[in-house]
Amino acid sequence: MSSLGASTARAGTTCESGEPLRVTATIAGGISLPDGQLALDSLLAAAVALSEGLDPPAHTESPEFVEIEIPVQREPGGKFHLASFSISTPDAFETDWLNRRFPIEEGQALGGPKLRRVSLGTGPGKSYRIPRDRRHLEHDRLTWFCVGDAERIRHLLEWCPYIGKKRSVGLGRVREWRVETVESWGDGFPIVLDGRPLRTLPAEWPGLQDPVIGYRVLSYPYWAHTRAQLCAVP
Amino acid sequence: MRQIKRYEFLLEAISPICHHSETFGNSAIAMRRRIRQPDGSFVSVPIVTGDTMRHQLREAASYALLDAAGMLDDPSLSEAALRLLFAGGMITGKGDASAVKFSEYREMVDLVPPLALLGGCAQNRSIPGRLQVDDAVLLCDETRSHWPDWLAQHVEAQGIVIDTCRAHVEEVQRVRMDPGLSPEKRAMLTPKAEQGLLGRIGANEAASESGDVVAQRDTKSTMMPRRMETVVAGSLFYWGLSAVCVSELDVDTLHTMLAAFLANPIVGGKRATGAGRMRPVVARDIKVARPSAESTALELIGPGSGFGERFAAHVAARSEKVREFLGRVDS
Repeated sequence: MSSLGASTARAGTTCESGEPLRVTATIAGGISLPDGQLALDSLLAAAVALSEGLDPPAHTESPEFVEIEIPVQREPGGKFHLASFSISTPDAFETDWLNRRFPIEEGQALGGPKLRRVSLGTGPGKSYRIPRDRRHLEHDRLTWFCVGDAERIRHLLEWCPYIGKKRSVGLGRVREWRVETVESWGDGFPIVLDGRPLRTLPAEWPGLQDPVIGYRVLSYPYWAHTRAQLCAVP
Repeated sequence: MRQIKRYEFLLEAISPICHHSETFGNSAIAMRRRIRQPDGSFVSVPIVTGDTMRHQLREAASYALLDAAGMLDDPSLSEAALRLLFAGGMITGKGDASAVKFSEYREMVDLVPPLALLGGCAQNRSIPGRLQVDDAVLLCDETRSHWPDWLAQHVEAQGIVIDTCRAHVEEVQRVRMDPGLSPEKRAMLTPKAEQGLLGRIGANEAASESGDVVAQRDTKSTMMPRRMETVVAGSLFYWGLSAVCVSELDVDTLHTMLAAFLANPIVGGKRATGAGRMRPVVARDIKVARPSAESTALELIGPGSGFGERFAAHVAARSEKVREFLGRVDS
């Protein structure tokens, strides 16, 4: 198993021998997916953090960083988990707007004597209106494939009632999670299909045919961009 | 204790809802969201955004906090504290953001419990929240296929007539009058000001007669008619929210903000003229993070329900520290 930074703390449990699974999320309405895909392994890691009460994540070099294990089998080298990124087809897009303005009324009523002037055009009090995408998926569905422990995955997914970005304002609400045993499609399951990578993979991974290569992070946390390396990109 | 609490509500607009997405010229357009129909097509349906509902919860929680800390009658907030409490704060770039100090984080959410649920930006870092707030979606023919079972049963049991979303929207016009056009108000002007005003009115009439549009524009009155779409009073909205609660205090904080908001929910614009008022009709509480949980109907959350006592006692016991924290917070 690969290790991150100076961390020694662990959370969650591993899966040594799993079964081939299909995980499906049915979304109620729109979802925000700026990258177009969601990684099942990082979703499960977030669920472990939530269910075990871990503090919000520090950067990976922090001694307080906790390495999280999930009930998905790792590839033989242990560098990443045998779980695909989400597979979905966008059906429609719309644009929402994120508005922010300084609370002027409250400032007038509750501001102290030192509060004399607030700049609304610049600095931390600046108002803004930022566009964001909301997409609707074909059949309102996201699908993942993995090799893991169905029961434990099902339990963890109960902690994910919303997925994607802007969950705080209701995007990506999951109407239903389904975890089903499926027939493996053979070589490459669940991360290579017809020569295409279904998640970020080492560029030389067997079975890939002319993959697109780019700098990506191989395993969660995917926000730790200092760990980016040349990968086959889904 | 770790659980995800989900509440669902049926809200009724008791005055027109003026919640707009944008304006074209002098016409404001109602906020809408695309909803998929059973045949796969999409329809745009009026909503009140999750952002708006969440902001109202944040405001309600902040007022409850200041009340419990005894700070409402003593205006003493800094700009940063105002931003944190009422707008979620801001990454200011001051200080060292490269290290996350969990001890500071724990102190912060202990002193300002709503921050643990709502999140925000303080001390140059973002604090992840644990509260997800849905859009409030209009009950209409187009949203029927998205209703939860309890809502469909309630609509049927109560014999509520459901119409199309278009039937709930009306376009209204308001006019800001030009006081200079009223002779009795003009009589209160100084002679010089009245002379100037009459000169402008005369110039405007002359420009209208000659068809000089540039002069007409330069001398026009300040009367401003504007039109807006509103969702009519009596319309019903379905609204839900979910929160990860890790303590009894979290649960009571959630109940406090809900009770404070639902005691007098007002959303959207034109509040000064009475628009945007709502009331909860039915509430539903569902615990989703425990397989054994059952869906149960709750009594409506509101004043006198006993919620909020733990929250108020917690904040009151730390009122001096809360005041000190809000005085030094960077947000």
